[in-house]
Amino acid sequence: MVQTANQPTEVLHPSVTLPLERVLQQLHDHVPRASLLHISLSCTMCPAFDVALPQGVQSWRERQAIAQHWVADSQGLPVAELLCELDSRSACLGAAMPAATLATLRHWARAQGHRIGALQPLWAQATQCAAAAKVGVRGVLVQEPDGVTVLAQPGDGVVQTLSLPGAPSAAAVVARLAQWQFSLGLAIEHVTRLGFDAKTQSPMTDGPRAWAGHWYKL
Amino acid sequence: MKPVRIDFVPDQRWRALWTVAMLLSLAMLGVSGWRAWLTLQSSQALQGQIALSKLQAQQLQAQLTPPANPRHDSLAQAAKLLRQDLGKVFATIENLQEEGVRLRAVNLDINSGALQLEYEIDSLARAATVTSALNAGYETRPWRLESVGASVGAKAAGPTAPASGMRALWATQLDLL
Repeated sequence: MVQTANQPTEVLHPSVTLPLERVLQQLHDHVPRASLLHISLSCTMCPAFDVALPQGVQSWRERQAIAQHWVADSQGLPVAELLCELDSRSACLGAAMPAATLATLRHWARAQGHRIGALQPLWAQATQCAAAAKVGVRGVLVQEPDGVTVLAQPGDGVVQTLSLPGAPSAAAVVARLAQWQFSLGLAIEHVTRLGFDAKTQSPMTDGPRAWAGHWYKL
Repeated sequence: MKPVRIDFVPDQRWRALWTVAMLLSLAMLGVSGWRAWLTLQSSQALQGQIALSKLQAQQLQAQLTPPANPRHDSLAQAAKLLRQDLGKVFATIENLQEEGVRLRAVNLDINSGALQLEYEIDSLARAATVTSALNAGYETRPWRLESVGASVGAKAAGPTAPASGMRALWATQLDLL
């Protein structure tokens, strides 16, 4: 999905097996040269994770390194092939993405004269909306075409995540979510449910500002 | 729920903001230092001018003060002497009518106002009489006997002989008369 200033959103449908370099080449005619890019990553490219950091670790870089090793171990990947970024507020919540993806994006942007201003997971952008900031809301469910991400804040600043990759059925999502909410002690009304789709939706007044017009309430 | 802020690209705006703030701070420091240096320079220049002005003032003062002239001093002393009222001194001398008493010298220091009368007296007892006569008419008894000595050339006539040819000195301040 490409959105430029004062232009409607363009949706490209590359093959799922196409390498990222080739996908980016298709953007050549859709993105003006020397643009400032704000890139949103889907939950498959940049899943959420929560990590229990040992107490006493105050250094931000040390926290990042611990989280990166933890995610790499859990996914069975070499540490060097993974990039992790922690949330600046909770520090136990983070997002991971392949290092090669960022390198490819940067290489392409440099070659096209673009500048990357932001590279954020879409689910993180969804948590910044007014609907998620309402009083009593302690969790956000973000359903994207390639997966579902659920973030919950049961208390004490601890954030827990649940990722359901792929396109699970609605019944599976409901069942898994109910089980997860029950284990965390959260009621249904405590979780804001947002859906994202490439098709333009009816505008949400309290929805996320990024990709506005593509969000809908579940 | 608290919003999640995760960005794999560091926010360049903060870096730019910090850079601008750093540059502004450096510029302010530079301007402050430059102004302080200018103030110091002007202060030193003013101090130099003040010292020069003081020196010139001293030189002008020295030029204005005329050198001491002995002639002027003697003239000033003469004028001061003329302003003194010496009538009482002469009256005291003239009124002293004692036998065996003879005035030998009158010393008057114009600057200090010290007056001395030296009499030749024939006996020591005469000294007390002369003192009373000099202080007659004064409640404060301004005259005082300073010394009594043998006159030059006087011959001792023996321990029992009356003292003769003695010199006695009385002193007072002119302004006490």
